[in-house]
Amino acid sequence: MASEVDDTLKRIQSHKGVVGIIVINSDGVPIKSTLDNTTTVQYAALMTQLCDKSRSAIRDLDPTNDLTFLRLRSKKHEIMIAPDKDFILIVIQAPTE
Amino acid sequence: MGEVSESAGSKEKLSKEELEELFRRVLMPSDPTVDQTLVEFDFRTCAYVAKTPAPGIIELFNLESNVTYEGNLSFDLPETGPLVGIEEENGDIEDESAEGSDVEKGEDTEASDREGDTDRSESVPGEKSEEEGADDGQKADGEEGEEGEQEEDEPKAAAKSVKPTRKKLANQFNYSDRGALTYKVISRDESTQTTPPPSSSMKEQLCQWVIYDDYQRDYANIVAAREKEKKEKQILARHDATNANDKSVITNNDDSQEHRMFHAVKIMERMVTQNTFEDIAFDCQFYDDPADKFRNKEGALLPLWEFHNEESQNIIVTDIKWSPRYYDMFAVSFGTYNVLAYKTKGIVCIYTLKNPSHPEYKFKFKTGAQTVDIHSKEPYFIAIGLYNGMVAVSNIKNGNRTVRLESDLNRKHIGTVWEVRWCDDPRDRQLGFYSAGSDGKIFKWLVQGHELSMIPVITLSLEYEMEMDTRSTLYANAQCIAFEPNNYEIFLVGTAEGLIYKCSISYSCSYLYIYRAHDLPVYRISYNPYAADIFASCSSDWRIKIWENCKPEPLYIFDLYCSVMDVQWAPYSSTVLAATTSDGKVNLFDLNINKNQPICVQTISCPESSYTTRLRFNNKLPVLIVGDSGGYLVSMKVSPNCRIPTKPTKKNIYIDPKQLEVMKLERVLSFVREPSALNERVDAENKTQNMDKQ
Repeated sequence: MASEVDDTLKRIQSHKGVVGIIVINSDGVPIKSTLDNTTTVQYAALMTQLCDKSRSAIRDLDPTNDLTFLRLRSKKHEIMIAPDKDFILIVIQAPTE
Repeated sequence: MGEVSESAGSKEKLSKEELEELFRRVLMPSDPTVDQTLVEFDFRTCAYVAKTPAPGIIELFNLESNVTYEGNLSFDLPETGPLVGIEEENGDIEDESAEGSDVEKGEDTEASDREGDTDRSESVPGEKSEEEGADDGQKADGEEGEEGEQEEDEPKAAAKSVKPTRKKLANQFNYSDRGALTYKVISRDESTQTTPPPSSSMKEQLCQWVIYDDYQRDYANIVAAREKEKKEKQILARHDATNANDKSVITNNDDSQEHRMFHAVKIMERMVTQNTFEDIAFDCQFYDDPADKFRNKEGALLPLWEFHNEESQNIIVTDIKWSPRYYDMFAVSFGTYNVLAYKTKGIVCIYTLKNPSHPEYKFKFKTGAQTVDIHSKEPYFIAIGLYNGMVAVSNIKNGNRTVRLESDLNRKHIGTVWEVRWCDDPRDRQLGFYSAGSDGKIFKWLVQGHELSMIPVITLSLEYEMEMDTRSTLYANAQCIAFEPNNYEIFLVGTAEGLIYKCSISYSCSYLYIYRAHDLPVYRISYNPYAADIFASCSSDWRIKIWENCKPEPLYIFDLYCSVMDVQWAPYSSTVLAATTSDGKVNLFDLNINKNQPICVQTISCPESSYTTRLRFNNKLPVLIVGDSGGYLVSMKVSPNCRIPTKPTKKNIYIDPKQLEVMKLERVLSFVREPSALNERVDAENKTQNMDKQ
């Protein structure tokens, strides 16, 4: 299973326009990243907060509901976040136009 | 009120008038020096209340001293009592009386405080004079009595009354009946400080869902505790089982996190692909070729996603099947058509349109995978036919930990398995599928636990050889198999010899019908989805033929000038069928529009390098997927001209669309059907011939 995860991550990285992949653990510490150190730390800090806030918003609306995925479309990038209780997976993709 | 005239006689200098002058003094019962406006704060009502001034008592005497008895003991002592004892008692009494006077004095001072300072100052000279008088004890006693001090008064009175009966009283102080001031009960507030109970301050943001989660957790704990109790009871019965249980729980937990990670990564990959192929996805959903309006009844195919994989490169796509459950998912088998290619590798990939870059699942085989089928009711069961005559079943339900069952060497086809088909025979308890092999045998396989059991269904023998009087029977080389859509018993088998056998699973040695269909191997038979008695077959003799049930002559023949690799009826229309040829083209026919020519011909792959092998319509979308010999798959959208919806001929009458399709097909076929009278005769002849042969 672990090797498959790694393979998939590699494939994602090889995709056109993918800027970077970051995996953050539940404490907000980056455990895997393809970006440089400062950017990773910045993303980790900000995205953890964003995820918490988003989840809180979703759960407040309906406690039986939960956040499964988060997509942020910005002018430059699309940030895709897969939040889990043990980790957060972030992929930053620059859409190719 | 009284008048007092006062004349100052002592002063001589006063004149007569002055002397006669009257001075008036007024005496009043009230003391003018007493302040009338005094207020006092009342704690009970929490307000100031006017204080009634004390009545004009002027203290004349205030003694502040101890009373001692110093006079001569003139009274007679009782004869019996010892003197010493009296003296002792005397001292005691002195003390007590002193105490009493102390108290009285305290009261007095309090009273004098209330009256004011002036009273006090007045009392001072009086006091002094009394003190002088107090030197002789008896007098003092009397005066004290006048003051109204009872305590002192009583012994005196007692002493007076005692005098006539001298025996009774020995000592005026030795008198037991005396009042005593008891101690005041003084109430005291006493408090002790205990150590405070342990406390901790907690601060947290609370939301609705936090509460909800806590309740859920609590409930889960209760359930777990209950289960634990149950388990413990079981443990008493069985000790060994616990260890195994614990272990399994741990591994499950481990698994779940990893599984979630895998799941997240997979979704992420799909998202990334979706972004990458966003335009294609939009095309698939929304784009209808506007050029179709100007083309005269001709269609086109719009290429969408391409699927290829490094491992499947240069291996022929031997079969494609869409999943009956998930419309975007399909299975592809990669194998070989080369007769002597025993060592080609085979792969079965399961792709989804959502992720064209990588297959969801991949099964590798040491030999070519020639065919694949997905179970319609349990779409995670995949049957695979292999080049070496074996079959395999995979269950992809549990993520990537697939269960794979393979037939063994004793039970297999002698020759390539060309097609496998899941059957939905309601009599079977297990899952079962049929396989057609090049040894001319049709087997039925049942998935029984961890192994496959094989049941021979029919062996296809070639009949000409019997006619030629040879001893050995030759078997037909089954190339494809097709089950009638609404009848799980009836199926058609296309052979390499060009014959199509109509068989039933109930008869293992006779055929229902034999179509002398083609001159070269039949590659595919496809039943019309709307009319079960119409089917199409394609062959490498360049032809597609459309047949009616048990009719020796085909209804339509299309010659494509190239070996036709695959044919399939479109699921959305009863008259549309697509075929792919070995020159890399896809031909689309709509019998309703053109009975002679395809309405769309499109080259998919370059004829020099590869040729298209298989094609398949999606069940839901107007999408067609075509595989070629290079291991590439292309999905294509069928343009609107190739999927013109059928309209009812008479307006305002609602007819079921399915019925409409059948009617359309009937109309098309009615042009080519032979008159019924003729048909019957031919049919009867054929039947008798068949009977004779058998």
